[in-house]
Amino acid sequence: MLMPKKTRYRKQQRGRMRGKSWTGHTVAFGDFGLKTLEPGWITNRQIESARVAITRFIKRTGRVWIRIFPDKPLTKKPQETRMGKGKGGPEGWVAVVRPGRILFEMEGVERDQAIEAMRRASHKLPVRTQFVGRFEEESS
Amino acid sequence: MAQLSIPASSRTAVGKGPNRRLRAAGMIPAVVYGGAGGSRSLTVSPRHVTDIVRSPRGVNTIFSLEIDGEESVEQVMIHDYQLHPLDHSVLHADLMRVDPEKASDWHVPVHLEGESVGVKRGGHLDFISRTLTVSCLPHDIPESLPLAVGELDYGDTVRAANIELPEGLTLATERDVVIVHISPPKGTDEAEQEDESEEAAEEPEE
Repeated sequence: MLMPKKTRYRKQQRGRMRGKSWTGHTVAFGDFGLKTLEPGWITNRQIESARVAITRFIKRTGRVWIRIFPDKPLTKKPQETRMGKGKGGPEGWVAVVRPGRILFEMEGVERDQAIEAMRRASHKLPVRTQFVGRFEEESS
Repeated sequence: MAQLSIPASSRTAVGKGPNRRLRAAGMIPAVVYGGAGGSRSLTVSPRHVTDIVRSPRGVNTIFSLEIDGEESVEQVMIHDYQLHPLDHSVLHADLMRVDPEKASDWHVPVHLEGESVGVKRGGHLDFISRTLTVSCLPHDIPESLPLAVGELDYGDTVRAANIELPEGLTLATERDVVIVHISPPKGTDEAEQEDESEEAAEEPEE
């Protein structure tokens, strides 16, 4: 699963997810993409699950790009713990996404196949998504 | 070839507020620069910009502007454009004056022709560089650079130097930039097979 090789600090503050994704919002590598319409945290497990859903559907054809990387540590307090006594321990990794961000890209498959693969991937994700193509090639 | 012309109006109000009001009214801010004329703020219709970007020549289309009803003799091209992250509506366009006598570098899309032997055998075509930078006069820019991939088999690679350029064009990118590569089908590699079997073991089918 995706995670940073090393980090300077073990824990991070949660932060806010205001605004839209002004970078990474166009299909850059493949022909089709899956775009998020909502802000959210996507865990490395969800990214992996979506990737597996895509690759299983398209079998051995096509190529897939993952455009997000889970570089934010997620902390959690143990169950049945009283409040206080410091921040919980690191439990996993998340990618912070804002509306517009392209999550996955594909090429080498037919459009219908790509739509179905992305639909399956979208069920593994905690955000509403939309299937998109390249801006220059979309019909006006 | 008939010269395309798009209507525009000059704009004096600049900044966030006026531009937001402009977009709410269905127009977008644009700026034209380059050449001897200096920079000038304009208002154009997003529809015209979208139509040009999606036309066969794309951003390499040369057109003129009809500013405030007066036909301009200057020829311009779309140098850059900004899109809204969600609905991909055009928010702003940079137009650059082109000098028909001066050669410059342009990004021209590569158009693949045919189906490669490797793909027919189950391989995958990696289209790595979709555009190629060439140097030529603005009116010599081709719509696209055709590349026949029918003969390519597993492991074959086409580099920038292998593409035949029309007369008047010179390559402006590095000669060894990979344009297309044919990879063998996934799973022929042992490591990949192991990876797939691990995947299957981790997550059994529902």
